[in-house]
Amino acid sequence: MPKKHTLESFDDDLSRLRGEVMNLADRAEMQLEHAIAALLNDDIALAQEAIGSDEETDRQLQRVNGYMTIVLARQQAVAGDLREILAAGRIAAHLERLADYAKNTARRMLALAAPVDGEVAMQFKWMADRVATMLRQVMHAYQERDASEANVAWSSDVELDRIYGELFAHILQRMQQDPHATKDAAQLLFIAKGLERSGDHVTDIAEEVYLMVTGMPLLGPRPKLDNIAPA
Amino acid sequence: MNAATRQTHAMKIDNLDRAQKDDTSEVAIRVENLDLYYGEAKALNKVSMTIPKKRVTAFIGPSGCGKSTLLRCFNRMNDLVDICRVEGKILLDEKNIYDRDVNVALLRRRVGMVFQKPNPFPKSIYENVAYGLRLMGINNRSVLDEAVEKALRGAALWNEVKDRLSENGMSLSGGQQQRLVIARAIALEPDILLLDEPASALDPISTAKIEELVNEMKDQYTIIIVTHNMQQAARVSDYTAFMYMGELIEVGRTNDVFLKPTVKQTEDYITGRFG
Repeated sequence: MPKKHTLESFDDDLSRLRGEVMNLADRAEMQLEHAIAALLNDDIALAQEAIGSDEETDRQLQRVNGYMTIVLARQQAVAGDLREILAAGRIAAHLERLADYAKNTARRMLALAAPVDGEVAMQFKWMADRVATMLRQVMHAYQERDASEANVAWSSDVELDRIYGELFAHILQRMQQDPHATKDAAQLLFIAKGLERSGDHVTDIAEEVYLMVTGMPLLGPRPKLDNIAPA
Repeated sequence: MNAATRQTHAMKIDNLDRAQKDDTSEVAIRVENLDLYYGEAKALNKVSMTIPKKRVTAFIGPSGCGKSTLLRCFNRMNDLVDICRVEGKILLDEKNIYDRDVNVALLRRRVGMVFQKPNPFPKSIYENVAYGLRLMGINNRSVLDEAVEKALRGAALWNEVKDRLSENGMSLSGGQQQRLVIARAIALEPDILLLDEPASALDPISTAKIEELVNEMKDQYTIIIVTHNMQQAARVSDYTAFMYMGELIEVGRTNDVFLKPTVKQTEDYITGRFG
């Protein structure tokens, strides 16, 4: 961690900003958990809770942006401090998008004619758990200013892509086998795509953390599977 | 957007461009292994760097780090301090300004200086600007008129004083006095202008005018500015040098120094983690 500022209020401001971003990450993760639990347990009340809590997530994003603006105006930050403040805003935007995907998952769950079951359910669970794990890892890297941990999170999206590819093929197969299931299958494809995109947002956050800590962009091709037709 | 606004906008983009692209500016001053002693105390330690021509170079660092001492070396103002001794070289056009055969008066014409506190003479505005020219033996009224107007325009003061040139320079506001002093310096058509905290005694509006003036003048002069105001250094300079305890710690493009300094001491200083 960097040395403390001579002006302690600057450390307080940065710490508060970090706290607000971490709160947003917690909210996004909670929304994701609720949306997936609702999907897997056919829990309509929980799905509605995941949808309803999105308003508070948006307000939390506004809090981060507002606080970021205040810190910029008050502290005339440069170098690592400036990168940290700017990173807070960009990370918050990714977290809000992640929460949006969770909300959409819950909405699509409510539109399903039949509960999700079997292998598809397991794969959704796996993907959601993976996104949550990556998110916790990257937010830990953010909080601890750990570029190596951010780098690990950045590289770990490939498994998510692989499972997404399998899930995509699986749902497509169902659509072909049972034309009556097409409507539900389409919803499931969008949910799967949302989880895959959530993983991408986490890797984007990893890039922001890396840049924030080192001042250098994470260069080179990110390990990524692109083995399916785009949804 | 009218034509004037477009032009200003284009000029500002050009400034940003120049700060980001490779700079091909020639060297105005080359400092080589410069040591400076006040008696036994070493105030500058093996300073080596180049100052690019027609660019603004800012020196930052805590009080006592040697930045003003170094600035005063560039026109040998330190010669006025009896116990001051300099080793190493400062090359202006590849000539060491500390060589014995250097005419210090001529050097100071080429390398003008403006101090923290505006120091106009108790003379008219006109005579303040004409002062150096008269010392050079120029007394022709039309030549002086032309030079005074040119210098006052160059210092962005002409419009404010053109109708009261005979008034005492001391009657001007602090910000105007500082621009008057700058006009006095540029009347001698120097190559280099040294500004030692030129705006630290001024209010924000006068400070902004000085900064704007620095921005305008850099097309004509090499400007070296010492400032405690880091935001000012970030705003006005193309290059920034950080000094600490008589040593040059880091020098680089201002954008690089303020976004990603290469030395931890620099980062600690500019982010307020010092001491």
